[in-house]
Amino acid sequence: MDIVFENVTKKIGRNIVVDNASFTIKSNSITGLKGINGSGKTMIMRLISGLIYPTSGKVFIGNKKLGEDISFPDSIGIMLENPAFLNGYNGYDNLRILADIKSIINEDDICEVMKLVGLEESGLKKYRKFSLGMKQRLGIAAAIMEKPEILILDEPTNSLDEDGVEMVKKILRQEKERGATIVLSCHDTQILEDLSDEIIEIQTGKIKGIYAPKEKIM
Amino acid sequence: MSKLLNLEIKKSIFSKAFLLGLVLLSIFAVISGVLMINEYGGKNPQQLYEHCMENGKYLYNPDFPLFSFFNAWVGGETTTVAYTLFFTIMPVCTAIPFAWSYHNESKNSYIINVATRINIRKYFIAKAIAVFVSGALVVFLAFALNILIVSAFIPYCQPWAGYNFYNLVYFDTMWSDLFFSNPYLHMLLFILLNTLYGGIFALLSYVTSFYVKKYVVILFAPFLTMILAGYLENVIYNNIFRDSMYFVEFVPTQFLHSRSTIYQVMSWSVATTTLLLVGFIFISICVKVRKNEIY
Repeated sequence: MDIVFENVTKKIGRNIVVDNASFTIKSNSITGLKGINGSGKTMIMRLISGLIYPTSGKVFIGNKKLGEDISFPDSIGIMLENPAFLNGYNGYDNLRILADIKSIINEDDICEVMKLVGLEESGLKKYRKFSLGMKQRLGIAAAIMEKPEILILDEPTNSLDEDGVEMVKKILRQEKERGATIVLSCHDTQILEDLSDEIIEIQTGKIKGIYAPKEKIM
Repeated sequence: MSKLLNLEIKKSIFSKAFLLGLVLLSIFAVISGVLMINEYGGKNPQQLYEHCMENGKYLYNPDFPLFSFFNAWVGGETTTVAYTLFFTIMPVCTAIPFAWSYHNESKNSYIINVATRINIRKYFIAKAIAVFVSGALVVFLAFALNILIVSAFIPYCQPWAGYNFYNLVYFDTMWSDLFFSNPYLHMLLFILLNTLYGGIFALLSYVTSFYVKKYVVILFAPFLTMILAGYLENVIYNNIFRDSMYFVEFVPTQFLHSRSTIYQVMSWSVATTTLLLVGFIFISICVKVRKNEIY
């Protein structure tokens, strides 16, 4: 499903964090958000997720207006910045607890996703004993486990080793093949351009440009 | 919603924080019980029995005021310092188990995992119910422990208005008639009222976490509210009602004890205070749910 921003502005206090943004994220594509820290990438991701609402303008998920027709997208997986889970539970239990809320996947799906992110064995440890990389992997697992139509990943390669980065690339390609609409931000421009069908460049909350990276390279 | 509620309740009860709140409050419940048993032992119960009772009836003996289980449990005794501390720290102990959890989950962004799977309103409601249950349970269990200890050593003598009685409930205070006619029911009602307030105190702390980001302030919010209410009550009494006989108690930590020690306790003042607090909590949650942005 397409994600459409129509003249979206978001103010927090006196600060304008997203300034009159208009763009369309096409269905079944990977869209990269590019910009320096504090440029407004995460705020755009929060706006898509229904975690915050625009001060003015409209956000559409498919044909439904966020905040009016729906309060948040029906099918969304998200990992923003540093993922957080319940310290007293192991990785599997944490996913089980979240999966129970919607009850659309079963135990086998959880095992499968833990295997996919490389946590099939270490996932039995308590979350408080997880390394940063393991936390990141669990965050990705939680985002993709319910096979969402929209997948939002904010800096998914943070704290990951080379194998982990390759794993993220593989997962993103698989998710796109499955039909997900993916929004991605990454401080590594090379990774972003390798993976993205389209890149939205943001500077101090404003959209500076939208381009297909392969066209730019050519 | 039911699955989220189950999860929140499980998180609120099966945790070290719950145990900590329960242990802290129970310490004073146990001390109160032990001191009252000790005091009862010092009264020489056999002598008391011989002098005061005959064929199951009380004989008047001004040297031996009646000492009964109904005036020795922590909600009925006014002798030890433990009961004062029990009611003073009760608001903090109810907040320790789970009232801070929204603040925690919001601070570390765990809330995002939930908010993208279920309407955030349901999250706030489930959290509120779990906070209430954890606070109420801490109070209920501490009372249960005190009652178990006290009832094992001190006899269940029916209170009688015509006899000397330690910690007698005043005739014109709330449910005082029940103290004499049906002391079990009187005790049960006070336990239920305290249990309800255990939940209310925890919820006061929970709604504070919507606006305040400091753990200490969140935990102590209900305690500080009670201190402030007590201060205001004294100011009002000293400036307006000093000559009146009918000034009523409206500070929960004072009227939760079955024998209020300062002002008169009336059912309507308890009901009014309870409704005001519940109303404030309800409105705070509604406002939070309406402005449900998550950063």
